[in-house]
Amino acid sequence: MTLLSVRDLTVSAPGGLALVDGVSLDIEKGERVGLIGESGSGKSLTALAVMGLLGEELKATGHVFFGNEDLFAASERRRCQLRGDAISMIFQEPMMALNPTMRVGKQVGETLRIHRGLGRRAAARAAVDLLGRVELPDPQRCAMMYPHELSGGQRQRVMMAIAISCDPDVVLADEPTTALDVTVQRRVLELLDRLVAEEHCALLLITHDLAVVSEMCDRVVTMYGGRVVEVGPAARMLTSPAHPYTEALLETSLAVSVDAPSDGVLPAIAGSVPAAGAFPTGCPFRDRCPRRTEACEVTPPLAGDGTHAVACWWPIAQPVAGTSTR
Amino acid sequence: MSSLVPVLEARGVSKSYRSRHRSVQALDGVSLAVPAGATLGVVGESGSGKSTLARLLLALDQPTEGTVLYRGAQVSGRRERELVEFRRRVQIVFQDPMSSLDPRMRVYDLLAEPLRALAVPGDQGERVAELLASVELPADAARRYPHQFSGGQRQRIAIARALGPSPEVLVADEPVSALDVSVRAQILNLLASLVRDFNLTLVFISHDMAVVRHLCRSVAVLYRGHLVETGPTHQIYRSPQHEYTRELLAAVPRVRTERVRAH
Amino acid sequence: MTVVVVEAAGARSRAGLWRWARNPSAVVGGTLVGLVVLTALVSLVWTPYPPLAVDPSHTLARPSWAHLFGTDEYGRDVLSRVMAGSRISLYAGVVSVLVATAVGVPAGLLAAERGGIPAQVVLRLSDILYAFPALLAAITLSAALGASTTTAMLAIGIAFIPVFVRVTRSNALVVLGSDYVLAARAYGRRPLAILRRHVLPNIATTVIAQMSLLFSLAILAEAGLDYLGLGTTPPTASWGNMIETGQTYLSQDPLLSVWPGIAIFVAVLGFTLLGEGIAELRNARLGRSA
Repeated sequence: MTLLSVRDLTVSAPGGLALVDGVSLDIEKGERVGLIGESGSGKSLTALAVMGLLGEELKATGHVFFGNEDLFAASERRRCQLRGDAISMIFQEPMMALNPTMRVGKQVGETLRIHRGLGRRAAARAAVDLLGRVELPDPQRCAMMYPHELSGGQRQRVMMAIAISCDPDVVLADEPTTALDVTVQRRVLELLDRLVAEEHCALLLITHDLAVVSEMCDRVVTMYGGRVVEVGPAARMLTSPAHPYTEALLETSLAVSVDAPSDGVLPAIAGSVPAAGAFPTGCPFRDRCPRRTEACEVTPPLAGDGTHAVACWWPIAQPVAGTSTR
Repeated sequence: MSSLVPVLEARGVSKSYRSRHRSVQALDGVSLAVPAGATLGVVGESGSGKSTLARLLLALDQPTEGTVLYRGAQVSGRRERELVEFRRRVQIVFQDPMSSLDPRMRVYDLLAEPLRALAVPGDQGERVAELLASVELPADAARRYPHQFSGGQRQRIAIARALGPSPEVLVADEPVSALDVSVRAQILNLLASLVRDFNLTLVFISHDMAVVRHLCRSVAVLYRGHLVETGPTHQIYRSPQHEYTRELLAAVPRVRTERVRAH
Repeated sequence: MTVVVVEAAGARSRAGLWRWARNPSAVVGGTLVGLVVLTALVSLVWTPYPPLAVDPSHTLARPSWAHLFGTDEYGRDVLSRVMAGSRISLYAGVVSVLVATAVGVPAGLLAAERGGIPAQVVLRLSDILYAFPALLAAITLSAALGASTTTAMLAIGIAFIPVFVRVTRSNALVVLGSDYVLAARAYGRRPLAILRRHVLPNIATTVIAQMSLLFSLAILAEAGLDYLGLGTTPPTASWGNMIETGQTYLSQDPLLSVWPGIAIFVAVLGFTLLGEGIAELRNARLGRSA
């Protein structure tokens, strides 16, 4: 059974502007899904909506099924129960997500006290264990420190300790390594990889870095303009993507490579992501797309076989056999 | 003859900052020569001292030891009024274009400021239009404020501002790190074409080995305030000598299209 | 290539007006302040009766159509005096805030830009001033210069200097630490030009919000000093000395102190709300652009 199923998720700003527009995606038990796209494509909002952590001003409609339970129909009390327990989240900037006035150990233990009813002592002991599991040196001492006394990478490890403290079924990680140095990122990714495997939990990894996705994920979802424009197995999406946007992202990532840089001009996507509300009607990518035609003024549906689907009238490699449009 | 003298040079520069409790050695005896026409990548992670080096090279900060020279003449420790020519010739682009552009100035004023401050001769309005064109922004951008632009466009504005006084050296401190992948490619392309068109000497400071490899012909690796390795780009990427350089190279995530991740 | 400009330029000013109109503090505060200022302006050319005209036959009269707020112990029209008093209050607010700003802002800028010993000197002086009881300063000043509106305003203005030093310095430090100031140094801008072109415009809203808040405190303080006989002296109409005389006749005409009291309330509330409104709008904008 599907672990987490998002159906027709729409997040709108006051005034009705849709920032996330009818997003559907599934995460199976233990599966690792990469959510890619540039900033402003609605990736983070999707994750926050799943967590029920959108700000007061934003309104989410649609359904988020966790197992059989529709989280959007559940009480706030029930959602609090699940949040940090069965579903947990890792943020990009751990300095913002951690309480600067609370010792690290206490913050890690807090989740356990809330969800597992652990006492102060037991929570403190468990916190030290968890800090050890995320490979912080001298966890005993780390537990007594404040977030600002740790480095960026260490803080992200603390966030990960909090995220796995209650054996979650799924972890949503929003750009967890973007703010980190390359060597630190490498170690944090390895740790995330190991923890997710050990915990047998599913992972939704939000990133704009396709290289990270290719190293970590089984499946990839591309978002643009608040919509899912392509979804498919990582191996396929990162070799022969069907959507021009996924292809453009991939081309750029491949061209700026540490192993063999392309000579001369890098492939880049023309223009930039418009502000919310300034996307064209029809296909949101059509202004920047080299393959656009008049047909693109009508919104293409997300269509394909069971594993690979694309929302494009002129996909590059048609995922459904026999319906080639080229 | 002039090509023998490096256009920009750091000679044994050290910089330590005193905070309340201890003193932090940001740079320790770094020597670096940038010949005219070079494209030099300075690679390092946070705490390597790379931004400190940028400030020292721009004479925005004093080294605790050593000197910074521009065409053989010392610039570190000089009075600001003696540096006007230097400021015209050496310009900088910062990492975050949101914080490097005064939010209360229109783009026209942002671009005209260096021209006024450095008394650059010529028609200001024309020059601003020229600068906007050279970074591929529309002329009507001049009337707008920075917050009305996307991140990539803001970085174009910052680059245009740096080009204003027609510098010969451009120091870029992590200019694409705050940008999305696709926009990053646009800005890198722009920098590459500007370097070519204006004969710029480029000092490109970055933590990203891939970006540096694409843009620079030589590389210097900084680690904890020390220069641990320098050399031509192809050589350093093919056979890195220092342990840390090897680690940096190995750490970069790579698009692995050839294999499905094994569980 | 095509470059999409994100937002239309005209949208900014319109959006600014709209945000202003939707901020209740700013709207209510602005309206009340407008009312007080309008009253003061009108009183320059017209009041129902001359504020100083005595009428021995109608002393301590209750409100009537002839005298909407009644008359005082000399038969002077209270409405006219409240209107005239608004001038003293506004004048007091303007001058004391100007005194505090004129000294406090440059001192704060100096402390932020120079750092080191100059900053220490400015900050210690400001601390001493802050610790010195404002009332004692007012008494000393009026002993030296005689009790007058100007004396009261000077005392209040001086007492407010430390507030401006602190607000200016802390905000200027943020701006001075920004990359755009570093960029300005890299293209050769000198410290004074940086203060004028980058620091001042960027701290202006905060300083203005602070001015508005202190304006209301100045009105309150001026009324207090008048009440104590350290400020504006009778027969000139000021809200403070009107309350004081009203108190003497509390048993005969309890409303006599109420009218200037309401006036002070309206003015203080107006300026306080306006200050808060400006601060909120500023925060909203920073939040949006961040």
